[in-house]
Amino acid sequence: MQVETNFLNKPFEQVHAFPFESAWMLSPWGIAAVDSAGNVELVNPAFERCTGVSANAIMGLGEASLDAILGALALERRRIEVNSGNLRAFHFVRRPAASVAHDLRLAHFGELLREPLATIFGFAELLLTQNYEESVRRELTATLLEQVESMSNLINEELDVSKSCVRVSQSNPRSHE
Amino acid sequence: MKKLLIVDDHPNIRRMIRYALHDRFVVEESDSADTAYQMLMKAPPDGIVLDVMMPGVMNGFQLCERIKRDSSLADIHVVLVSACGQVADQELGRSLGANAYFVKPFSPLALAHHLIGALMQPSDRSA
Repeated sequence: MQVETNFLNKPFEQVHAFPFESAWMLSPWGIAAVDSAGNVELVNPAFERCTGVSANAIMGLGEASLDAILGALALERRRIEVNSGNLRAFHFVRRPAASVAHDLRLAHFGELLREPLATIFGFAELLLTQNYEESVRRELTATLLEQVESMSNLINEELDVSKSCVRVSQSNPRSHE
Repeated sequence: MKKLLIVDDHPNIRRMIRYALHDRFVVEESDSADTAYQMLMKAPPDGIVLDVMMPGVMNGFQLCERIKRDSSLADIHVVLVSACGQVADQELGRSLGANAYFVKPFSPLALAHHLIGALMQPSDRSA
């Protein structure tokens, strides 16, 4: 199988034709291509996901402006000088692994919270709408309090972890790069 | 009376659903999908309330898929209840054949209302 290696000389409108399309489209790195005139000519789908900046807001911007925008974001960045054909450079960006791990932990934390929250919500609804005997009411109310305590413990643990992470990050500013 | 199997690794959630059903069903409980599968193979219930994320070999999605692919079990009314509330999770549940999907926290009365509507004859619903 012959691999296309001369894609850098192709005009941007032919980008989708060259065999690197898959890499461009599926790369976890956000990529912005800067043309020989120094303007952003193309971004891949991951670029918007990584930066939260829409492609429309970036297209046509000068490289200095692109650099300023990306510099304001907490992103891992690489710039590869190309200077070949219509291309001057590629800017690669991705969210730091620590940030991804943080988001995953937050998502997990949210799911952990839903369990006691479900119990509190459910038992509160039952207590409000059903006529239970006093012993049952006391039992359900005790469960509510237990679950509030459980949620409180989860939140405190998460706060402790977050504070520890911030302390580590502040004592070693490059740990997230 | 119709038989219902509640599968959730959190005993408080199982208890809450049981209270909400108010003795309208014969209720059995399991704390894992693996145990639940053994139970329903022996005596299939009419309905199953199934948590998605549970410890064990099988999760709720996998048990739902097994139930709906087995012609002897496929008529069981499967209600998934989950802390996974994203649209993709709900679509996955539906694609596996779940009859309903409740996101935690959910209203136990709404769940009971759904189960009564799905499993009980109209003449028995007000009992």
